[in-house]
Amino acid sequence: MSEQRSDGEGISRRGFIGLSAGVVAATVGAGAIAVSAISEETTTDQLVSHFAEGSVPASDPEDGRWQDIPAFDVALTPQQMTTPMLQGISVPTLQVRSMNDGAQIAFLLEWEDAEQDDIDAMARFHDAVAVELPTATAPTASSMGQSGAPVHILQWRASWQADIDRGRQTVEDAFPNMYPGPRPEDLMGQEKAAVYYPGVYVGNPQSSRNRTQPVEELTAIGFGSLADMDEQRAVGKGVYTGAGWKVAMGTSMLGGKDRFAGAPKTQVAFAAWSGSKENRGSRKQWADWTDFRIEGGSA
Amino acid sequence: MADVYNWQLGRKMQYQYEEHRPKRQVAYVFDPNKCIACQTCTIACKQTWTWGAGQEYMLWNNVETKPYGFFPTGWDVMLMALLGPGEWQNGTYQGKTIFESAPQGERVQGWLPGDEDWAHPNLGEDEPLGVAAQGTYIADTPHDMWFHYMPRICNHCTYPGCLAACPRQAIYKREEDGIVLVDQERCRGYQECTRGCPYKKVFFNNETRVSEKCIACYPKVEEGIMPQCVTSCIGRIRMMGFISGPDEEPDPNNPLDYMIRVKKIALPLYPQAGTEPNVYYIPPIHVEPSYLHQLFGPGVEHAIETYSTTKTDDHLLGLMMLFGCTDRILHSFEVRDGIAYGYDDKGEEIVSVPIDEPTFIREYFDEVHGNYMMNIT
Repeated sequence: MSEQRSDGEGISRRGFIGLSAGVVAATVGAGAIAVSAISEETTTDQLVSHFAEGSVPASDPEDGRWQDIPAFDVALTPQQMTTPMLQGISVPTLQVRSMNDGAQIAFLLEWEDAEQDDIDAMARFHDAVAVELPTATAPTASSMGQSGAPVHILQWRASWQADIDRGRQTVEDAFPNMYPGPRPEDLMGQEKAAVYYPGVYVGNPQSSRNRTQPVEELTAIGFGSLADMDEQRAVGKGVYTGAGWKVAMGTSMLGGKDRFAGAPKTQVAFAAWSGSKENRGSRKQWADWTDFRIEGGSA
Repeated sequence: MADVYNWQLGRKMQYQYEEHRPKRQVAYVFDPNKCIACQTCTIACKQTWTWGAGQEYMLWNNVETKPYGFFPTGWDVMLMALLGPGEWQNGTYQGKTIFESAPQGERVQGWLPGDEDWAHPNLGEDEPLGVAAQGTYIADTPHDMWFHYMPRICNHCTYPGCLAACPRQAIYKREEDGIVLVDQERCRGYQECTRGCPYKKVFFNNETRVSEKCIACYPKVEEGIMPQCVTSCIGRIRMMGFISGPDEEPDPNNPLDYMIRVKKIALPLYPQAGTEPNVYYIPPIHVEPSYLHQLFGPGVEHAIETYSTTKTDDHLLGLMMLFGCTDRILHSFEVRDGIAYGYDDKGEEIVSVPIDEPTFIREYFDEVHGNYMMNIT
């Protein structure tokens, strides 16, 4: 199913200086999905988070260092464990890279998608991708965790990326030709009008008008339990290439309540959504746990 | 899935969760016979709750013309197509509900309207079924050609489709009054509720990116006052109150119980969906019964027959006179000595109205002005 398509040991645990200049040139030069030059060498069954000195490009999918490390293909299948299920698949594969600097862990996720879906509106859904990490040493269910063993999830959404890139997307962005009538804020000012925007008023992160990152950190202990973490540490950025998405995102490995704390050997799982296929929530394609080795700087 | 009892279907059915009825259940009776589709209810609701950005298309309350009017477009045609034919035998529904007919992998049988479907809120307005020949005069009911108005809000169902469809339990039914609400903190905007509601009365807010719906004006209800759509109705076609559960004896002094469970003049809309909706309609008496059966189930003839006796039934007439006479919620009523009385939950009198109002006869010919008078209503 999943395979590591490179020799992870061939890359220095101290960074990427051990890579030959030729390989770097070949991968960077090949463009957005140009990892194949080094990705067909050997296969393993685990994803490796390569150690990087100093910092990781958690919010830069175009950073050249991503192309210095091998890609790992994750095969996705339709979620059919809980209802509502996904009947057809539109994102069969995610191409994943990971690196860490001992304090932060970052992922680059790439997939093909012919349509850029970055507007949330009625019957319109966004493209998205998620990384799931365990928080306990004991095994937990990749299917959104379980009681006593929560999972730590990073989810990037194209609509949040649009909020960052183009400014908070409003109903006028979804329906540019609409004629808006007078609104509460026009007549009574923003403060008094706040109650007319209940999602915003109660602080639902979905309704946030001041989003600074296109990534959310969430915790879950089973289907239907997904909840935003109180403390949001994640950063990220996604770019649409014309043929698909390249999304970088990362978070702290320092741990905390219901948070991933890093471990040399752990697991990771993934999910992806295609908005134009009406994917949302549990209507997603996903992958079970993949063994995940996190290289450390002093190992 | 759990076995639950749906009294409107006369049988048990499958539902996502165990049967759990609230302490009391909010209910409405609408009388489309008196509705003139003035949309005052629609505007009252809109100006109260849904005039913010992102809510432009939302009509928690709408009035559509049947059979050709819909909001969203074709909502009940789609529902009927999804459910397929279903027979009633001796008051028991033999077909499948939206829960029992859910395809593999789905929580309910549903569909998600697109933005175009929400773009024509008064499609089919005043379009009758049938064509009138020159000189047609309609003297009897049901009419050969007809349309009727259908005022619609959330049904605050006992077994809500929206609640069953939400995979993260962001929709809940209040224990104190059965009002169904979307938790604005918990919703993540999946729109499964819109897809799952057979009546299409849950709406995605394009600005806040979470779903919203009719809240039965719960801040008013908590103060003992009826919702905006009820108190604003100039045709006095609506009454809101509470209905007892099927395991309780109906209270003949409770206006809602009396109309729905005792006299059975008010019927649920599309009960075959299986959600046990709590807005009840007095069937429009001029409409073809076979169509009314599809809308309201098998009690149509009895309801129309009983409703037609209102003018000779002082008790029922008195209750009808109480429609729209107060903004306070009536918990009980009585009719004595030609007066209908309404009471609050403490038994205190809220309102009294005569069942026969004084009648003034205006002469056909106005001798003062020397002209003939014309009725225009």
